[in-house]
Amino acid sequence: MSNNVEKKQEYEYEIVKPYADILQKDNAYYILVDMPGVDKKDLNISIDKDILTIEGKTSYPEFGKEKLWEQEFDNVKYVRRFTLADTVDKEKIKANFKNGVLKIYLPKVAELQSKKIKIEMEE
Amino acid sequence: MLDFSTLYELPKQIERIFDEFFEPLDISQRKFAYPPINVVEDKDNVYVYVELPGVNPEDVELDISENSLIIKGERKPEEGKYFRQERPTGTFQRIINFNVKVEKDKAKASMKNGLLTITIPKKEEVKSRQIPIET
Repeated sequence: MSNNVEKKQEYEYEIVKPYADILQKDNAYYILVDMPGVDKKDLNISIDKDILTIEGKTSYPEFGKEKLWEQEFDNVKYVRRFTLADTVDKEKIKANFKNGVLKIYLPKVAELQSKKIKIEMEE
Repeated sequence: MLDFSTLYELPKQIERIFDEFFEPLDISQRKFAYPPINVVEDKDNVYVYVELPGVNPEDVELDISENSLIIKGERKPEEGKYFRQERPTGTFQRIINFNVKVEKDKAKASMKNGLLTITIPKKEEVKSRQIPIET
């Protein structure tokens, strides 16, 4: 009597760090992250105190099924974390995701303007 | 005694804007040319998949001939003062040579979420077919 046990193979995606650019423009910082193949619904951005975490899972078709001539990329799980400094106004962080690129807008805190202290001369 | 140490720390703190916290594995396939490409063949077609995030269809040029497909274009960088740049920018070109005969005029391409998919039908004469066994 053969026991045909059917095991569902859970395909574990490799966890990788996506390429990210950090730049400053006008009065804000921007983080741009390359995450091709990720659907918006599989993208997660969270912030815990001063740590910003980005997670995304790709949903490519399984590449191994047919004849492979060349394979240079595969399904992966993207994870990247950033520690934000106090110069970032965390309440006003915004993000948008288009063409596989996540663009995070991090405005600077408004009151970071140096004030001049007037020295009063006393006679 | 006045403690001026916090004042001296300040410029350093403002510069240390972002920090990496955890360090997951680097993408192992990054050793290959850019952009990364997968080429797959099934019964009817040859499929070329290209990872090209942030690129619009008008920034890519696809030239197909009987023997090969050339993918070229440009990834333009965003404007601003960079603290860190990892995303590849500039012009790119990849060439794929076909191992089978294809119908180059019937090739189609589409893009979604930064993945460019090019579907090229194989010529009828090279499609494998099953031989029915007569009894």
